[in-house]
Amino acid sequence: MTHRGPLRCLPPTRWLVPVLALLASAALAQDVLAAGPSGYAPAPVLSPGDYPAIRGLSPRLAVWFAAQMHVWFAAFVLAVPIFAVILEFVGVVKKDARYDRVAYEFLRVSITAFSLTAVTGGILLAALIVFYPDLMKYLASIFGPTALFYALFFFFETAALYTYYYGWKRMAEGRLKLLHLAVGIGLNLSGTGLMFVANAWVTFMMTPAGVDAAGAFGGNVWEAVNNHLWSPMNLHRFVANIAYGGSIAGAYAAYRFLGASSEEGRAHYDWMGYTASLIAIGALLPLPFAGYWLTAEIYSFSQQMGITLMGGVFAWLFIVQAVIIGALFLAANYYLWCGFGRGGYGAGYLKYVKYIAVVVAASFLVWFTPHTLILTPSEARAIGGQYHPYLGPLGLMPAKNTAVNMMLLFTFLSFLLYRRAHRRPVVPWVKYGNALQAGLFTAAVANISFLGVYYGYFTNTVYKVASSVPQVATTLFVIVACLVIEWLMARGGRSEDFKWGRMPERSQYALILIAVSFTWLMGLMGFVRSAIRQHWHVYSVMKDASAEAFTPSIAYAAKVVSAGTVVFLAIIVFIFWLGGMGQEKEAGGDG
Amino acid sequence: MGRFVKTAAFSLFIIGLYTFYSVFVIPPINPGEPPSESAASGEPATIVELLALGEEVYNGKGACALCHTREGGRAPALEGSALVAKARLSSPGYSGKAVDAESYLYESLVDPSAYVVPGYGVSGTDGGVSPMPDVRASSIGLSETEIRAVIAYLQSVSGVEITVALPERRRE
Amino acid sequence: MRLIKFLAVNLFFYALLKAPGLLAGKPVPSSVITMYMFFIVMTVLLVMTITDEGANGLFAPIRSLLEDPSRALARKVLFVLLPVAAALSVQYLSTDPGPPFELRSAHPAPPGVVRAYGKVYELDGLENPLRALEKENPAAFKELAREGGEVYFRNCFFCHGARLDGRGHYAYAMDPLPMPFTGSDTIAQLKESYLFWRIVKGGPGLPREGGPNISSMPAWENELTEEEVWKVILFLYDYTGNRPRSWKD
Repeated sequence: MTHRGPLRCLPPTRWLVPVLALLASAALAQDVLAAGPSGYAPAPVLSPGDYPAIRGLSPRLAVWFAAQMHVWFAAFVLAVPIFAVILEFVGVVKKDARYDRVAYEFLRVSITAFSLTAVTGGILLAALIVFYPDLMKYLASIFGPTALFYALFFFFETAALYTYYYGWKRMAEGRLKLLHLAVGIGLNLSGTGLMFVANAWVTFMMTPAGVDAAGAFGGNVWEAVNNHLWSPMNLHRFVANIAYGGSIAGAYAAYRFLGASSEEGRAHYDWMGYTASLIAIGALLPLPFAGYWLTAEIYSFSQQMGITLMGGVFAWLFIVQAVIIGALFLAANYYLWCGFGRGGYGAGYLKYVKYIAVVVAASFLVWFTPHTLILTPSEARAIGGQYHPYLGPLGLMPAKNTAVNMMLLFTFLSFLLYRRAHRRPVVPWVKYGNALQAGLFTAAVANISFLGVYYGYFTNTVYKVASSVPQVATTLFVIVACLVIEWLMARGGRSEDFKWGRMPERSQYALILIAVSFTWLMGLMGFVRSAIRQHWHVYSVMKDASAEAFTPSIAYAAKVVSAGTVVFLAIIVFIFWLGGMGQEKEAGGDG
Repeated sequence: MGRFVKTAAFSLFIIGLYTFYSVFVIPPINPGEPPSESAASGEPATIVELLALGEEVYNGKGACALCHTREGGRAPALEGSALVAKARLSSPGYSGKAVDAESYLYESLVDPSAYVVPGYGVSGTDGGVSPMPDVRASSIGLSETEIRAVIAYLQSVSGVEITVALPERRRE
Repeated sequence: MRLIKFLAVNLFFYALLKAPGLLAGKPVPSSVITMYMFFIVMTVLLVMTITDEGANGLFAPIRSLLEDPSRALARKVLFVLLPVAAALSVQYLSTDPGPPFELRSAHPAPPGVVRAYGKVYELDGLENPLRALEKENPAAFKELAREGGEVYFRNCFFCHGARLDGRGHYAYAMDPLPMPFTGSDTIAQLKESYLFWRIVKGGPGLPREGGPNISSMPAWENELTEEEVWKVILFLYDYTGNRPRSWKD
């Protein structure tokens, strides 16, 4: 049990918090069930006097901060088991002990975060009850019964987590290993269920269902749970959690890589960083589609809410998002380019990098070119208006769709060349295979540009958005086709092992950038999700009458998110440091 | 400890860049204050006051201008709405209960699905359901006076005679 | 050597972004150039530092300047020049802030109807009633356009100029500059009904979406008759050789 390390000093928090939360939620549920179904009143109409005030403290900011911390921690601790189970599973299938080692190490250094998730959740609940008592009473009157599920999932998750974690070494062989995997899957199921229950409360506040226009509850809890945004939000958060966990694991590996003293340690953390970031980027790719579903549901619930989100006040927020996602892509590409050095043939491909870079950067620039340009009066004079003859078309949707597809396609090309860095196909039709891949790429680029330019600008409006579907289809088709060709060509080919650890230190900062950007972006998008409710507690049902009902500006939100990111990452670093102390004793110090 | 300082400085630099961009580079737009409840506190006494209230509600509390833009697109343009209302009543697709232009506008506000302008229905309903909410519902929550004021405003921008009666006279 | 290449590549892209302003008179906004250049410099830096040799080659000249004992003089000059350059740029940035940025639309969307001269005009489908004469009676049409010219030179030319290029006597006192009618990107893109609305209602009639409402164009409905407005529109197109967009295309 030496691997428990410094955690031994923490047991009270570890057990006390879940038990307390369980008791509290059970009490809450009792309270509500006792009230009975007869007591469904309309949503209360509040006045500023209904909000308790503490001098010098902004209630909204306090709740915002607590909620943000809780969501970050929750995303992290939901991601860690997903991540660990995937790696453990791959390790079992591939019979490669490295995966198992990484999965266990990552779980071990993160274990403190589980308690902190419960702690921040408790703080959030307390802040909400203190500052927004009437809202919480109203929500509890509807969602009381779900608290029971929440408590159950919480109990199962906690039990599964400790079985999974402490049983890792003991259940390492044969059937026990499979049982261990099953416990891991159970852990993920209960964790995901926990998130689904909490999502129901959040999405109800955005798109209430099961209540009438005045907010009086109809009595059907399932209706309130299964509101417009519940399913898309579940999917979006689930996928995003995987990406987030991968990015944090990558940053952790990068940090350990930078400090590794032995060749072996460098190789291990280099490999871990690569695997983690591959999972992160892989989960990032379907995220826009989940986001599209979420937005479509927002529009179908309330057009007004949809327009608030995409146009008007928050239009610039999506420019900020574009900048950050572009930075993520650049960083991922840079990491792959640096990885060319791991394989024996990589040097030969370096000459293509600058062309890929030009395309990726150009697509990126197109992507964040705003529709409404910021002009000085003298520039506006010279152009003769707000519409720029050359930049104007780049601000429109067709250009951005084209740019995103190009960015995906050429990032994939980086990945393909990276794979080629360590293997040389020898099948007799190599030339034709390469020509076919090149042909597919050229055709895809031509098709995507044609669709974007022709349908985007030379036909009428109806086709403008419609052209994005064939564009995405083209990108996906080429990616799959090239992977299949690559797989066929690689059979029997000469390949040498990657030389893990042969990475410049610079490349590791790309992984750190990905993790920091993810954290910040989650905060920002969480802000806009909440902000489009504007001055409502529960949209269109319960009005926020407090002094802070106004919607804050993007600049203000950015400051809050930045402060939160710094605090959160500092705590995460501290948790890793705690977890790392035990390991140094165990492994004899590659850290 | 060198790597800790280095990575921490790097992370802070990245966060700082994002913050700088969001605070100083993008144009500072402050979302409007939440609409005040007291818009209709004093009953309008004259047609001018009624029109002023109507315009205020149209652009503010009612959020009409959000969808009913001049270009159309999401919702029909309303600049000539009172003019077309008459023609609407006699069109074969109309199945509502309105008898004149004013009651047609009133019906469109409180029961938008009574008649959906072709092409503006919720997709998948074959034009049977309007995406517009009942303006009395609490997401907008207009009072009777405010609805009358909006109708008067629509008649005014359409350039037709204002038939909406002032609140006092309606009560008599 | 690589440092020079780095600077050259970045300069090349900077020149590319500046070119539309210098050559075609359509400058890329400085706000956009700043953002573009930031990411271009970053990308070039990333591409040039993929390998260790590349990174060393790029940073070696800087390192030697800072560390090499034989280059002490250059180092001292640099340490004097750097603060001076910083001071100068701060002074430059702080002394000329210029007017604030604005988000303004030059051709905002017109309203559906215009009320003027005691009538209601539905702009959608509104034609110039005098336009028909162009085919039916070219001589009378020429005469009407000439009369429109008289209206123009009595009322409009002070700002919009004798050559209809938007550079009349008073033009430079205004910001934004008066709209030119020559060229293919102003009235050639518009329908006559749009011009009718802009002339009759002027700057005060601009919608809110036009941004800060600072157009100095007067509302001419009290100065000109309806016929005079239509005639002056004929003149604007006739004189500049532009064709109005019709409702058919």
